[in-house]
Amino acid sequence: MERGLADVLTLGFVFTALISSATLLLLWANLPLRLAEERQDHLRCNLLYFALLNFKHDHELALPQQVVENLLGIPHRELPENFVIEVFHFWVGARNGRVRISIENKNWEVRVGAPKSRFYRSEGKLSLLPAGGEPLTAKVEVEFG
Amino acid sequence: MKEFFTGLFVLVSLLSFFILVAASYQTYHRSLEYAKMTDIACTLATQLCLRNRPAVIELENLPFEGIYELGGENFYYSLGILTIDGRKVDSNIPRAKCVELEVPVLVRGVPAKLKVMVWKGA
Repeated sequence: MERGLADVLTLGFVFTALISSATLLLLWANLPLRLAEERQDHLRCNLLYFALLNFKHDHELALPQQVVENLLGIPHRELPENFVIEVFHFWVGARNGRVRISIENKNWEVRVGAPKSRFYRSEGKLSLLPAGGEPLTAKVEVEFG
Repeated sequence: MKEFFTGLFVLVSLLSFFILVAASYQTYHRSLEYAKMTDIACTLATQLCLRNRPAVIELENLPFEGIYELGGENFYYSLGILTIDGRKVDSNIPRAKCVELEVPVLVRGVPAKLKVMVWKGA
Protein backbone atom coordinates (compact mmCIF):
# COMPACT_ATOMS: atom_id res chain seq x y z
CA MET A 1 0.00 0.00 0.00
CA GLU A 2 2.78 2.34 1.05
CA ARG A 3 4.77 1.44 -2.03
CA GLY A 4 1.77 2.24 -4.25
CA LEU A 5 1.35 5.66 -2.66
CA ALA A 6 5.04 6.42 -3.11
CA ASP A 7 4.79 5.51 -6.81
CA VAL A 8 1.77 7.72 -7.34
CA LEU A 9 3.50 10.60 -5.57
CA THR A 10 6.63 10.14 -7.68
CA LEU A 11 4.65 10.07 -10.90
CA GLY A 12 2.65 13.10 -9.78
CA PHE A 13 5.85 14.96 -8.99
CA VAL A 14 7.38 14.11 -12.37
CA PHE A 15 4.19 15.19 -14.16
CA THR A 16 3.96 18.48 -12.24
CA ALA A 17 7.66 19.18 -12.85
CA LEU A 18 7.13 18.58 -16.57
CA ILE A 19 4.13 20.90 -16.80
CA SER A 20 5.74 23.71 -14.79
CA SER A 21 9.01 23.51 -16.72
CA ALA A 22 7.05 23.59 -20.00
CA THR A 23 5.24 26.74 -18.89
CA LEU A 24 8.46 28.42 -17.76
CA LEU A 25 10.30 27.46 -20.94
CA LEU A 26 7.52 28.84 -23.15
CA LEU A 27 7.47 32.07 -21.16
CA TRP A 28 11.25 32.37 -21.52
CA ALA A 29 11.13 31.62 -25.25
CA ASN A 30 8.65 34.42 -25.94
CA LEU A 31 10.25 36.96 -23.63
CA PRO A 32 12.31 38.89 -26.27
CA LEU A 33 9.29 39.31 -28.52
CA ARG A 34 7.04 40.38 -25.66
CA LEU A 35 9.58 42.98 -24.51
CA ALA A 36 10.00 44.26 -28.07
CA GLU A 37 6.21 44.62 -28.40
CA GLU A 38 6.16 46.59 -25.15
CA ARG A 39 8.82 48.95 -26.52
CA GLN A 40 6.71 49.29 -29.68
CA ASP A 41 3.63 50.27 -27.65
CA HIS A 42 5.67 52.75 -25.65
CA LEU A 43 6.85 54.42 -28.86
CA ARG A 44 3.27 54.48 -30.21
CA CYS A 45 2.09 56.15 -27.02
CA ASN A 46 4.82 58.81 -27.19
CA LEU A 47 4.12 59.56 -30.84
CA LEU A 48 0.38 59.70 -30.17
CA TYR A 49 1.09 62.32 -27.52
CA PHE A 50 3.26 64.41 -29.85
CA ALA A 51 0.86 64.03 -32.77
CA LEU A 52 -2.02 65.29 -30.62
CA LEU A 53 0.14 68.12 -29.36
CA ASN A 54 0.87 69.29 -32.91
CA PHE A 55 -2.54 68.54 -34.39
CA LYS A 56 -4.36 71.55 -35.85
CA HIS A 57 -7.76 71.62 -37.46
CA ASP A 58 -8.88 74.57 -39.57
CA HIS A 59 -7.53 77.09 -37.09
CA GLU A 60 -4.00 78.19 -36.50
CA LEU A 61 -4.09 76.88 -32.95
CA ALA A 62 -3.01 73.37 -32.01
CA LEU A 63 -5.51 71.04 -30.33
CA PRO A 64 -4.41 71.60 -26.69
CA GLN A 65 -4.61 75.38 -27.16
CA GLN A 66 -8.09 75.09 -28.67
CA VAL A 67 -9.21 72.85 -25.81
CA VAL A 68 -7.85 75.28 -23.24
CA GLU A 69 -9.63 78.21 -24.86
CA ASN A 70 -12.86 76.22 -24.84
CA LEU A 71 -12.38 75.23 -21.20
CA LEU A 72 -11.77 78.84 -20.28
CA GLY A 73 -14.91 79.89 -22.14
CA ILE A 74 -13.24 81.92 -24.84
CA PRO A 75 -16.05 81.75 -27.37
CA HIS A 76 -14.63 82.76 -30.73
CA ARG A 77 -13.25 79.32 -31.64
CA GLU A 78 -15.26 76.15 -31.77
CA LEU A 79 -13.63 72.84 -30.95
CA PRO A 80 -14.50 70.24 -33.59
CA GLU A 81 -14.98 67.53 -30.96
CA ASN A 82 -16.39 64.89 -33.32
CA PHE A 83 -13.49 65.31 -35.68
CA VAL A 84 -11.03 65.04 -32.79
CA ILE A 85 -12.71 61.80 -31.68
CA GLU A 86 -12.54 60.48 -35.25
CA VAL A 87 -8.84 61.33 -35.45
CA PHE A 88 -8.20 59.71 -32.08
CA HIS A 89 -10.04 56.56 -33.21
CA PHE A 90 -7.94 56.49 -36.37
CA TRP A 91 -4.67 56.81 -34.47
CA VAL A 92 -5.48 54.41 -31.66
CA GLY A 93 -6.90 51.77 -34.04
CA ALA A 94 -8.08 48.57 -32.41
CA ARG A 95 -6.40 49.39 -29.10
CA ASN A 96 -7.53 51.54 -26.17
CA GLY A 97 -6.61 55.13 -25.59
CA ARG A 98 -7.44 58.21 -23.59
CA VAL A 99 -6.44 61.85 -23.91
CA ARG A 100 -7.02 64.27 -21.07
CA ILE A 101 -6.24 67.97 -20.95
CA SER A 102 -6.58 69.73 -17.61
CA ILE A 103 -6.34 73.36 -16.66
CA GLU A 104 -7.47 75.16 -13.52
CA ASN A 105 -9.50 72.16 -12.27
CA LYS A 106 -11.31 71.88 -15.60
CA ASN A 107 -10.88 68.73 -17.67
CA TRP A 108 -11.48 67.68 -21.24
CA GLU A 109 -11.28 64.00 -22.04
CA VAL A 110 -11.67 61.72 -25.05
CA ARG A 111 -11.60 57.97 -24.63
CA VAL A 112 -11.48 55.14 -27.15
CA GLY A 113 -12.22 51.59 -25.99
CA ALA A 114 -12.54 50.32 -22.45
CA PRO A 115 -10.20 51.45 -19.66
CA LYS A 116 -7.38 48.95 -19.18
CA SER A 117 -5.31 48.12 -16.17
CA ARG A 118 -2.11 47.92 -18.21
CA PHE A 119 -1.32 50.91 -20.38
CA TYR A 120 1.43 53.32 -21.34
CA ARG A 121 1.25 56.95 -20.43
CA SER A 122 2.88 60.06 -21.87
CA GLU A 123 2.27 63.32 -20.15
CA GLY A 124 3.60 66.82 -20.13
CA LYS A 125 2.89 70.41 -19.22
CA LEU A 126 2.19 73.01 -21.83
CA SER A 127 2.65 76.71 -21.46
CA LEU A 128 -0.05 78.39 -23.47
CA LEU A 129 -0.92 81.90 -24.42
CA PRO A 130 -4.67 82.05 -24.97
CA ALA A 131 -5.70 84.90 -27.26
CA GLY A 132 -6.00 88.03 -25.15
CA GLY A 133 -5.33 86.27 -21.85
CA GLU A 134 -2.71 85.49 -19.24
CA PRO A 135 -0.09 82.77 -19.87
CA LEU A 136 -1.37 79.44 -18.58
CA THR A 137 -0.03 75.98 -17.96
CA ALA A 138 -2.11 72.99 -19.01
CA LYS A 139 -1.49 69.35 -18.27
CA VAL A 140 -1.77 66.90 -21.17
CA GLU A 141 -1.98 63.15 -20.58
CA VAL A 142 -2.19 60.41 -23.19
CA GLU A 143 -2.77 56.77 -22.34
CA PHE A 144 -2.43 53.88 -24.74
CA GLY A 145 -2.91 50.20 -24.03
CA MET B 1 5.43 -5.02 -14.20
CA LYS B 2 4.59 -1.96 -12.13
CA GLU B 3 8.25 -0.92 -12.07
CA PHE B 4 8.34 -1.27 -15.83
CA PHE B 5 5.43 1.14 -16.30
CA THR B 6 6.85 3.60 -13.76
CA GLY B 7 10.19 3.50 -15.54
CA LEU B 8 8.50 3.94 -18.91
CA PHE B 9 6.54 6.94 -17.66
CA VAL B 10 9.70 8.59 -16.30
CA LEU B 11 11.52 7.86 -19.56
CA VAL B 12 8.71 9.33 -21.67
CA SER B 13 8.60 12.37 -19.37
CA LEU B 14 12.34 12.91 -19.72
CA LEU B 15 12.09 12.56 -23.48
CA SER B 16 9.23 15.07 -23.61
CA PHE B 17 11.31 17.42 -21.47
CA PHE B 18 14.25 17.25 -23.87
CA ILE B 19 11.95 17.81 -26.86
CA LEU B 20 10.41 20.74 -25.03
CA VAL B 21 13.79 22.29 -24.29
CA ALA B 22 14.81 21.97 -27.95
CA ALA B 23 11.52 23.48 -29.16
CA SER B 24 11.76 26.34 -26.65
CA TYR B 25 15.31 27.08 -27.72
CA GLN B 26 14.19 27.27 -31.33
CA THR B 27 11.22 29.48 -30.42
CA TYR B 28 13.55 31.69 -28.38
CA HIS B 29 15.81 32.24 -31.40
CA ARG B 30 12.85 32.99 -33.67
CA SER B 31 11.47 35.36 -31.06
CA LEU B 32 14.87 37.07 -30.81
CA GLU B 33 14.93 37.53 -34.57
CA TYR B 34 11.46 39.09 -34.60
CA ALA B 35 12.41 41.27 -31.63
CA LYS B 36 15.44 42.51 -33.56
CA MET B 37 13.27 43.42 -36.56
CA THR B 38 10.69 45.08 -34.29
CA ASP B 39 13.44 47.14 -32.68
CA ILE B 40 14.75 48.19 -36.10
CA ALA B 41 11.21 49.27 -37.06
CA CYS B 42 11.02 51.29 -33.82
CA THR B 43 14.42 52.88 -34.46
CA LEU B 44 13.45 53.85 -38.01
CA ALA B 45 10.10 55.26 -36.86
CA THR B 46 11.83 57.25 -34.12
CA GLN B 47 14.45 58.61 -36.55
CA LEU B 48 11.79 59.64 -39.07
CA CYS B 49 9.29 61.07 -36.63
CA LEU B 50 11.64 63.04 -34.42
CA ARG B 51 13.51 64.99 -37.07
CA ASN B 52 12.32 68.57 -36.70
CA ARG B 53 9.01 68.54 -34.89
CA PRO B 54 8.01 65.34 -33.09
CA ALA B 55 5.45 63.20 -34.96
CA VAL B 56 5.42 65.57 -37.94
CA ILE B 57 6.56 63.89 -41.16
CA GLU B 58 7.76 65.67 -44.25
CA LEU B 59 7.24 63.64 -47.40
CA GLU B 60 10.16 65.28 -49.14
CA ASN B 61 13.38 63.27 -48.73
CA LEU B 62 11.56 60.44 -46.97
CA PRO B 63 13.47 57.21 -47.71
CA PHE B 64 10.60 54.92 -48.75
CA GLU B 65 12.85 51.89 -48.95
CA GLY B 66 16.34 50.99 -47.90
CA ILE B 67 18.68 48.70 -46.02
CA TYR B 68 19.48 48.85 -42.33
CA GLU B 69 22.61 47.09 -41.15
CA LEU B 70 22.75 45.69 -37.66
CA GLY B 71 25.42 43.40 -36.30
CA GLY B 72 26.71 42.49 -39.75
CA GLU B 73 23.22 41.50 -40.94
CA ASN B 74 21.23 43.32 -43.58
CA PHE B 75 17.61 44.16 -42.90
CA TYR B 76 15.42 45.66 -45.60
CA TYR B 77 12.73 48.17 -44.87
CA SER B 78 9.99 49.97 -46.71
CA LEU B 79 7.67 52.73 -45.59
CA GLY B 80 4.03 53.46 -46.19
CA ILE B 81 1.78 56.33 -45.22
CA LEU B 82 -2.00 56.17 -44.82
CA THR B 83 -3.85 59.41 -44.19
CA ILE B 84 -7.20 59.71 -42.42
CA ASP B 85 -8.93 60.51 -45.72
CA GLY B 86 -7.74 57.21 -47.19
CA ARG B 87 -4.82 58.39 -49.30
CA LYS B 88 -1.90 56.02 -49.47
CA VAL B 89 1.74 56.52 -50.28
CA ASP B 90 4.01 53.51 -50.18
CA SER B 91 6.78 51.64 -51.89
CA ASN B 92 5.80 48.69 -54.04
CA ILE B 93 8.32 46.15 -52.82
CA PRO B 94 6.86 42.67 -52.46
CA ARG B 95 7.48 41.45 -48.94
CA ALA B 96 7.02 38.27 -47.01
CA LYS B 97 7.57 37.48 -43.34
CA CYS B 98 8.00 41.10 -42.41
CA VAL B 99 7.45 42.91 -39.15
CA GLU B 100 5.07 45.87 -39.35
CA LEU B 101 4.83 48.89 -37.11
CA GLU B 102 2.19 51.61 -37.44
CA VAL B 103 2.67 54.88 -35.60
CA PRO B 104 0.52 58.02 -35.45
CA VAL B 105 1.96 60.99 -37.35
CA LEU B 106 0.94 64.21 -39.05
CA VAL B 107 1.64 64.65 -42.75
CA ARG B 108 1.22 68.27 -43.90
CA GLY B 109 -1.08 68.77 -40.92
CA VAL B 110 -3.27 65.79 -41.86
CA PRO B 111 -3.55 62.91 -39.35
CA ALA B 112 -1.86 59.83 -40.79
CA LYS B 113 -0.19 56.58 -39.87
CA LEU B 114 3.37 55.78 -40.78
CA LYS B 115 3.83 52.10 -41.50
CA VAL B 116 7.34 50.68 -41.23
CA MET B 117 7.93 47.20 -42.62
CA VAL B 118 11.17 45.38 -41.87
CA TRP B 119 12.33 42.03 -43.16
CA LYS B 120 15.58 40.14 -43.21
CA GLY B 121 17.71 40.18 -46.33
CA ALA B 122 18.64 37.02 -48.18
